[in-house]
Amino acid sequence: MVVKVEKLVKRYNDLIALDHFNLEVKEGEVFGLLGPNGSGKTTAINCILSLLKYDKGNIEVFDKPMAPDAYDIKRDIGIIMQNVAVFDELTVYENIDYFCGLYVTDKEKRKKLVKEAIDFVALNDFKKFYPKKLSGGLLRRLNIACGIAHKPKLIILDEPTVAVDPQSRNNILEGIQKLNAEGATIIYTSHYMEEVEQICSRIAIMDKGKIIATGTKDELKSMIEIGEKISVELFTKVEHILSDIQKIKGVTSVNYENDLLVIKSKRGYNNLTNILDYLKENKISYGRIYSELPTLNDVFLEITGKQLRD
Amino acid sequence: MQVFKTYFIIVKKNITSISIYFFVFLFISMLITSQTPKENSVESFDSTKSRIAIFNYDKNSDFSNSFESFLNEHAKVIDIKDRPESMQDALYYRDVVYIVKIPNGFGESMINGSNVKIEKTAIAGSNDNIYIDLLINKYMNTAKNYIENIPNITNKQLNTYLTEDMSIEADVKIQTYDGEAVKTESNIGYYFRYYAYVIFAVVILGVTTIILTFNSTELRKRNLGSPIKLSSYNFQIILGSFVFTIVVWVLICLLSFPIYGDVAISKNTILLFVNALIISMVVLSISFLLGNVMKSKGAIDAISNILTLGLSFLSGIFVPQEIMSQSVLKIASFTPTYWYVKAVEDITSLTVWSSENITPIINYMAIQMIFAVAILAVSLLIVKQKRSSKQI
Amino acid sequence: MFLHIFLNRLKCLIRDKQVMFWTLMFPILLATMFKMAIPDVVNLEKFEPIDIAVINNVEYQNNIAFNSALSSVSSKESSSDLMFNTKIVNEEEAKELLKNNKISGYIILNDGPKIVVKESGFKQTILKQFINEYLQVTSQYHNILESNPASIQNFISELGSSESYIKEVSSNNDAPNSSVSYYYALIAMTCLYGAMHGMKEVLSVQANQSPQGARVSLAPTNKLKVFASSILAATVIQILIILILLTYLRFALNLDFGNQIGYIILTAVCGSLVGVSFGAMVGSIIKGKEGLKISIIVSFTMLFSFLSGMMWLDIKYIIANKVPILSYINPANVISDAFYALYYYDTYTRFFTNIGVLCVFSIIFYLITFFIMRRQKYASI
Repeated sequence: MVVKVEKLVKRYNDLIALDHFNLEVKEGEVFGLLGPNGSGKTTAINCILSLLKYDKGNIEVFDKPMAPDAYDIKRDIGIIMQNVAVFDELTVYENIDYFCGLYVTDKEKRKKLVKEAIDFVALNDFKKFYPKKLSGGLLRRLNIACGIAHKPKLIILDEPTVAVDPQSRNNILEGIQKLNAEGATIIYTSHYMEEVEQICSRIAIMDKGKIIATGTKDELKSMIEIGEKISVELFTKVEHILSDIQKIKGVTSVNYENDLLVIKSKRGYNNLTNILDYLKENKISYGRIYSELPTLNDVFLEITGKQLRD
Repeated sequence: MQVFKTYFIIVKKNITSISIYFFVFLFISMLITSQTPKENSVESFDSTKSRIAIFNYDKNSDFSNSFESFLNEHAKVIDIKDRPESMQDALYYRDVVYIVKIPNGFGESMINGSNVKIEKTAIAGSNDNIYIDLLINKYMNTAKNYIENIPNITNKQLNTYLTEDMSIEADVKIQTYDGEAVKTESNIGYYFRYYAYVIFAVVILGVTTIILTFNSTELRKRNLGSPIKLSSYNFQIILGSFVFTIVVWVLICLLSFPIYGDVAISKNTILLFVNALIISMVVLSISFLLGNVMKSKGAIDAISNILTLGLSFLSGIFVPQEIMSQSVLKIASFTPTYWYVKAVEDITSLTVWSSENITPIINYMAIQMIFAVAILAVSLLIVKQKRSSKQI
Repeated sequence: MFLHIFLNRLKCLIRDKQVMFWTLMFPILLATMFKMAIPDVVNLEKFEPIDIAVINNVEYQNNIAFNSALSSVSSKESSSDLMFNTKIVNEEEAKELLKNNKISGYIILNDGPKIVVKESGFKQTILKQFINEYLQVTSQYHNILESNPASIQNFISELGSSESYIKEVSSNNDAPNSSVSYYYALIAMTCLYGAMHGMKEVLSVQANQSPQGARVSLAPTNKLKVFASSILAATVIQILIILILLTYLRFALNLDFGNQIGYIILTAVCGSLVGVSFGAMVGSIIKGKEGLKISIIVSFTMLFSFLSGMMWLDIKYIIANKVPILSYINPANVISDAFYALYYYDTYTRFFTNIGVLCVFSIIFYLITFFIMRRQKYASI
């Protein structure tokens, strides 16, 4: 087990930030920690890294207890924080060299590692630039290079794509997958479900300091009742339509709002043709009609009763 | 008046750092007034006596003993231990400013006409130092005259003559004129000289911080995007800054009453208030300029400190103008504070309110006003340019 | 590792323009302004001739002795470097002149010379001293004429030749020049601005203060070791800055610090230690942005400097007398005190006491810093 967290409790005065939080990350995984803002993702990461005091619980990294002076553990961790953590007074190259130097003392070896890191984030043309001269996306890439130059076995990325343009975001996501392919275990926190769905092999969903579900994305989706969501553009609301559709087998809920009829069905039922047939039979005119499979947001909604993104 | 209102919300947020300067100023004013004015005190007719120490190693000589009692009359003699450390401590803490040592055999040698000297250790460059030097030399030269010109003069005779001569004082009459004001105490002059330093520190700090907040890129775009006219926007900011400055001015002026009591209640003080108000307007326009030209708080901190201290030193707020060299004063005359200090000095020495005496003061104030208007004009021009420029 | 951090931190400090401004440029600019504003030697004897008047009456016309005494020190053209510009007027005119501050005072001879002035002051005192002198010499003249008339000619011929009967015995070879004191306060201020460097170093390793610090905390290196080499870099930079300033003062501004340059450098080094450690303490105690910390350091340093006499020398003595405790807890004052001690004392007891106090300061500041930084986990970040 690369990371093992048991019953972690962290309080900020009256606020419980982590409430018996459990987590297990296996070697070679890209593990996604998904949750809305304020759900405790960063707090959990900071506790795992021994930056924050916690009230109760056990944390093991690489099967050894984690502590601020557990240097042999720290040597194999790379961290990319939400905030860009580089020195304004050092150039791109010097920044990567400085942080790498905290892990690797051998100069020759370090030189090679720094070069590889620069290649990895494609900042070759900007080696001598100061951070203030870099655009937001480039700065994020520098931030990543500083975290991974020492070739860590465990890489923790805490919301690395916040406020990043789509192109840089794709670069970053591809990079993460590449690092994983090279053998690193990844912990990735985000509140963007699309990203997590795209790259993570296993996902934990967090809310209010607790893990509320863990599994692959398919496992997570299969946890919930809803199978299919059909939306129909309808310009006249007629009460009997709603009650008629409700009677179709497998339909769990029918809602009408903003000219849109949303019909949710249980897993295993395929009701699209049934609904189309019903509309035709009754000569009800409709606009667009489409069907969706459930997303992680639906999973979150079903479990917590609220949207992932407020 | 949305901008104006917001102005004071921001002032409220920054009130701690602004008020620090206030309390420091209050503290310093107390210290200054608790001290009797040192300047001119020795030379004045109602002079306070210099604090000196005497070590007479020539106790057997009548001449030396009467010299010692002469000093006792003309200075405040402090008893200190005859140990080098005690003497150094005493000088160090300004317990005494002058230590006199009468060497053994001094009286004898004087009477014989040979060249001997009193030993002194004193604080260099002080007025007391010069004054005590004069006193001793006068005494000794008079003694020399008698010894040289009256052979076999007895000790008794010599002492009588010396005591008599030394006690002669010119008859001084102090003339008063009708309708003449009481001379403003020089301490309040100090207070108002320092006022320039404080108003620079407080107003530049306060006003630039606030203007900077208004000018922060995002906020600026939003403000420029709103239907409010630039002139009205600027007017409200200037009005806010003006009110802020006036409040500081009023507070400092009011502060002078509890500190200086009756002294502060005079026609001269009103002139000092007016003068202070005028320099405040100069500071206001400087702050407005800086707030609109500078981009970061750091740069403003730097510039304002250089400006405040530089002006204070060059134009005679900290170091009196009298002791500065003519060439530096010429440079200083290009600064508004130079004219402010000149006005303060003239006002404090003003006793007769005649047009002849008031005109120069009015002129000094007018020069300051010109500075204020010119700087404000420049900054308004810059603000206008900035708006029409493509980059924000 | 130690060297790696040390060299990189040196780079960071040198490249930080804002910090370099406060620690190096500001003192140099201020020193230059001191040099312009404060004359090296305060020369009180040099003054402009004083405007006075004398009333033209019968006694004045008849008193030859007074006439010659007055004319020996006055002239009718203001270009002269004599003591007085004298106008001979009638009493009404004199009163009018005095009223409008055209003259400092006037002399009226009425059974001997008398003075009329409006206020007391430096110029009036000079006038009074002149009349005193005249009266005293007259008295001597009468006394000698009475006891030994034969010598009266000798007395008159010797008039005006006065001898000095005073020998200055300064406690040290270098007599302190009061204008140097301003520069001492300035050096003290520069030492304290070293706080900027100390503060920056804390910021760079504290996880709860900056993301960079968080990154450093996560590295497999003892944080205090990283901090030790960072703070060493800060101290080295600060000492270099002080040496640059001293060189500038000595060679560009031509200030004479006497022959105790070794001790002066020692003081500057100890002062720098205090400055850097002060900054480290401020940096670790105050949670907040770098800007806020810089403002705090700037205001404290300026306040300390003011209280140690940088803007007004006498404040130092006022505080030493009224609030003595303040002069011991103000590091700027202790630094400038050490400089004074070099001048006022033969022995080095007081000097080394001050140096000791500085070391104690710096130890206390570092201990506080240490106790705050020792924590490796934080309640919140």
